[in-house]
Amino acid sequence: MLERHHDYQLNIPTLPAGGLANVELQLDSDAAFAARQVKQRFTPGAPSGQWSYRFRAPSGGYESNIHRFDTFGRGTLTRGNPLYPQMIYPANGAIVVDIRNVTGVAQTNVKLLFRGSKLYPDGSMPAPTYPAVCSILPQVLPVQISAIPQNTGSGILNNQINAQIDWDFALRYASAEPFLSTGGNGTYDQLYVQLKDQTQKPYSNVPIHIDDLFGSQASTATGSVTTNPFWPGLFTPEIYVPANGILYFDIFRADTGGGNVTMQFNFGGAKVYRR
Amino acid sequence: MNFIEKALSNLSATRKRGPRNFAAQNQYRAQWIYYTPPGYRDEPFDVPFSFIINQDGNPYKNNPVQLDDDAPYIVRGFYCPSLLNKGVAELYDANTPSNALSSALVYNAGGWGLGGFSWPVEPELYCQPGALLMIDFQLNNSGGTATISGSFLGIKRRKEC
Repeated sequence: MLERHHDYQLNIPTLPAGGLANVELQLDSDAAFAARQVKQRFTPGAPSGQWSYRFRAPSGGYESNIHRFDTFGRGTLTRGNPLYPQMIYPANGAIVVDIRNVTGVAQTNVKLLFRGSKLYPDGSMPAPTYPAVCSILPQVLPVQISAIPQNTGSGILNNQINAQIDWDFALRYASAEPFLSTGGNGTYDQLYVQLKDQTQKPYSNVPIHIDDLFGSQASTATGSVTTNPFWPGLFTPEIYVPANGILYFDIFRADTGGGNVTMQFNFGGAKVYRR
Repeated sequence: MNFIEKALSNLSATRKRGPRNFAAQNQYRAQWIYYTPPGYRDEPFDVPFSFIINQDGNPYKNNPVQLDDDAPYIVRGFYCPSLLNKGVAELYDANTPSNALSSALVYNAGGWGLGGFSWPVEPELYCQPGALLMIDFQLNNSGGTATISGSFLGIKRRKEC
């Protein structure tokens, strides 16, 4: 079994006052999906505490008997709700979700994130990994993107993370920080990133909010998170990039304020030297 | 050997064998799984540091953290909360020449050691006795100086007597 990190996010542009039932999050046809975490992503149009959810397990039964927030039971506001044991949905299947509108007033940009792995049969796709003999060194690869505008439109595409000719790179975590070169932090709110491998095959169905993908102290995208990050976003399993390999990431921002923001994206893990 | 010594000896022996099916290539391992070679004893040991750095936007390279020369030191964590939002840093291992732990100066050291807990250094860094761990800093041009304090966390590897 080959595992590949993958996120699926359900985007609901408009949540009517009465909520929605049986919304299908369509899964890709290339692999089954092992869901290991579910997390509410709050936006200005659909803030914390204003909507709740429940969803169906692969068996068809619900994961909770009533609509829930992440904070019910095992979950937390900042880290979402862990799904243990994992829930494996078939390829080309769907995760069926009910969304309850707590306010009774229509909301916009409701986002529910499922994190986990795609599951491929052995040999069905390239799966580079550690050589039999190697030396490993902790490593952070920073990528700075200057002056990301409030609205990026179609996005800032194909930013690169490069492994070099003499080492592989095992990507295990990432952090992202807004900052100003003169000190202090820039501000962002609706900033999303989609990570892709060197064949441009993405690691998510849509761009994922950077507080979810890169980790954050904040439960909502508050903009200037001066204590961000206290913990990184984790890739499970790690993403192994062979020597000379490239990862791409696309940036999308749709803020109404805050001005331009300069971000440093830090991709952490290990250099792997072949010996 | 009394009962307590025997019990401790057994615990130590278990630790030294490492876990069942231990594989060096398994990257998802807890810090405590690191293997202590036979004839050695690992002791927790931290190496605090403190530097006064100008906040003028210029790089200040090779700030040295001197390690003791009585035993090898193995870095397994890093903690530097005073760097938060002040600028960029780059860490190095203790080899000669040293290897950088990032491809460039990284804002807030890439998040290393800024929270309430230390940042795990994975894989661990083996340092010869008496070696130097270097850190580069480049703080924002906000005037004056800043005291950047922190600590390397890890173990000293001593020979069993």
